Amino acid sequence: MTTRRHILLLLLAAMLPAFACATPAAAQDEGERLRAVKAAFIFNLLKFTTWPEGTFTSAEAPIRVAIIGDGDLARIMAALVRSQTVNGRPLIVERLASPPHNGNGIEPMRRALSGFHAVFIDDGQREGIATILRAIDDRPILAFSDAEHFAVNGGMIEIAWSGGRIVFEANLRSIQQSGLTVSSKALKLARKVHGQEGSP
Amino acid sequence: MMALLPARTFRGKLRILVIGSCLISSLSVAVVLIFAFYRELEQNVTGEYSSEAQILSMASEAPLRFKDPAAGLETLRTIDALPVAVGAWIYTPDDKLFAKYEPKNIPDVEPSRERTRIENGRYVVTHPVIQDNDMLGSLVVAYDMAPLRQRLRYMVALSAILAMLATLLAAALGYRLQKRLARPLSELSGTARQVANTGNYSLRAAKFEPDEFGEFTDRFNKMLGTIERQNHQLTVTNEELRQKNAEMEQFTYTVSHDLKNPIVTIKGFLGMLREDIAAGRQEDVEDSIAHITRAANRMTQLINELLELSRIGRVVHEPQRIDMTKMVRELKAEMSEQIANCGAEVVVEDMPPVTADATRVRQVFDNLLGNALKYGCAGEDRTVTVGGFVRGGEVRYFVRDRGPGIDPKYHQRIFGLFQRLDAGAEGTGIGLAIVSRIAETHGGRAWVESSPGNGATFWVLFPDDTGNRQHRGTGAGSPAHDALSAGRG
Repeated sequence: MTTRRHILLLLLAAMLPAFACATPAAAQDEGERLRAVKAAFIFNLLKFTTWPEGTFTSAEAPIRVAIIGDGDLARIMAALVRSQTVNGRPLIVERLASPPHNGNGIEPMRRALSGFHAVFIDDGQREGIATILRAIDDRPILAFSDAEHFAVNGGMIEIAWSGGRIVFEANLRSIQQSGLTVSSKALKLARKVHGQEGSP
Repeated sequence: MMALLPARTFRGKLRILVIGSCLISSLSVAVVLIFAFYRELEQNVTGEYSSEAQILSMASEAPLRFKDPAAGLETLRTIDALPVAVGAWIYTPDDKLFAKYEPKNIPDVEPSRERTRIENGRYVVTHPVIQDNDMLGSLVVAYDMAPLRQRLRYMVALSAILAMLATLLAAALGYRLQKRLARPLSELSGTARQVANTGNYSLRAAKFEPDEFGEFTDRFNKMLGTIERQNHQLTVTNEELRQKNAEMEQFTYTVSHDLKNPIVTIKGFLGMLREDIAAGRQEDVEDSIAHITRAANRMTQLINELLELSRIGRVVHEPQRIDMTKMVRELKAEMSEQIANCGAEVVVEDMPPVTADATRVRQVFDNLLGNALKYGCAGEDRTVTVGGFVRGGEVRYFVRDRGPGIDPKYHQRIFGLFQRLDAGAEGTGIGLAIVSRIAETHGGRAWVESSPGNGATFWVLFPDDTGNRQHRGTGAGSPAHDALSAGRG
């Protein structure tokens, strides 16, 4: 009953604000709730993602997700996906250090990202985004971020908040260049899809 | 069927059979057709609706996954393109309503374990939403059954019309066949009824086709023919018998009368004889004895000739080829004394031969020649001619004299028994009866052509000489045969 637990978890996450109001550490708990929703979104989108053939060494090889800049998110998401699978693969969530801002971080970042299948870059790391994207360099690593204009600027999935709900934008060209496929079922839900035919 | 519509005639039964079997077969076909149509429709509809629901459920994966009811509603709105769908709902795995779209304002339809069900007159399809082995929820689509019912009604109506048309067609065809089948039977029964009512055996039933009925008609007609023939024979024979009976009465009367005459004579002269003897009148005694003797002789002759007449039918000789010319010439020679006495001249022409009883044929000419000499030798011309020829398959002989002739009113009577035109003449009056009888026993006849003052010609006719005609067996006892032969003569 993994699905039920998953749903229950999400429901619990949705109910967190109620507890948050009742506790003194309200702000901290609100942050936790938003992270849980974010983690669930990333996990859900992975469910609609297909990696190119030969990406995995075996049928049960895990999907590795890197979190850059938000240790709490890494912790929460790791807990969320502990017993979950995507197409029969377990998920491993790891925290990665952000690259140095001097422009010499591309090569170390490239090495650090090898073996990962998805990466989330926290809004706080927006200085390093360009370096990280260059380090990804067309490799099939699905890049998420909650930084503004991430999708327009060559990122893949940009997470945002609207009316208390999580929404997203996608850059189809970036996704396709990396050899990844995100199901149109999911893309249909995007607030905006960039990099489509006939659009900038 | 039979009990419902009692048919008294074969035709009616046949009609019921034809229409009944048509109806039953057509109805069976219609029922099978409706059933097949229904199954086809059900499968089509189920398949159609299921695939629609499947497409919708796939489209519902992302909205459920991302908890986006607005996106779910967008997905459900696509049922607007499906003309029969009246509402669609997405439920979470714990059966909580996630999204709904019901443009027709119908109450929410819950999901169920059954993939398809019928609820409140709607066809409801429940399809699970599963992605990557995760049960995300379920999709429910409700369809309006009215168009489905419409289609079913259309099918039933179509089948019923087809069955009706088939029945009508078959009935029309069967009616024609039934008419053809029953026609010979009604013809036969009609003819039989008419024959039974009128006794007219010349009626015949019309034959229509060379089947069993045709054969039956032929046999029936043949039977009627046999009855008709036998009936005719019976009528003729009855008439013949009646005549014979009358003849017999006449015969008995005339025989007893003619036999009585000599006896009266004998009795009278016996009384006189007694008186003559008592008185001693020798001369008168001699005279009386002479009268008695003459009467006795006459009686003997009468009895002999009657015997002869009766023999004609009873005593039969094998028929043989007779050279008629030769036979008549012999007769002429035998009668030369008689011919000379009356000063007649007998001319015997060449005649065709005949196959018959020679003794009887000789009797015929003996009598005819004797008569001619007896009655025909009275005037100036005393020529008697005997001749014959073949005409129309018959052999005719004649004996012609130049005597006083015979009044036509006696032409029939002279061939009867004891009929003498001249009461004073010699003879018994049996001769011409014998001639007539012999001709008849040979299947021929005898007659006379004459008028007063012009002589008389006696004709004797025998049937075709060339044919292997059987001489009459026991002719006297077979009046029917006589009648038939007379008919041919």
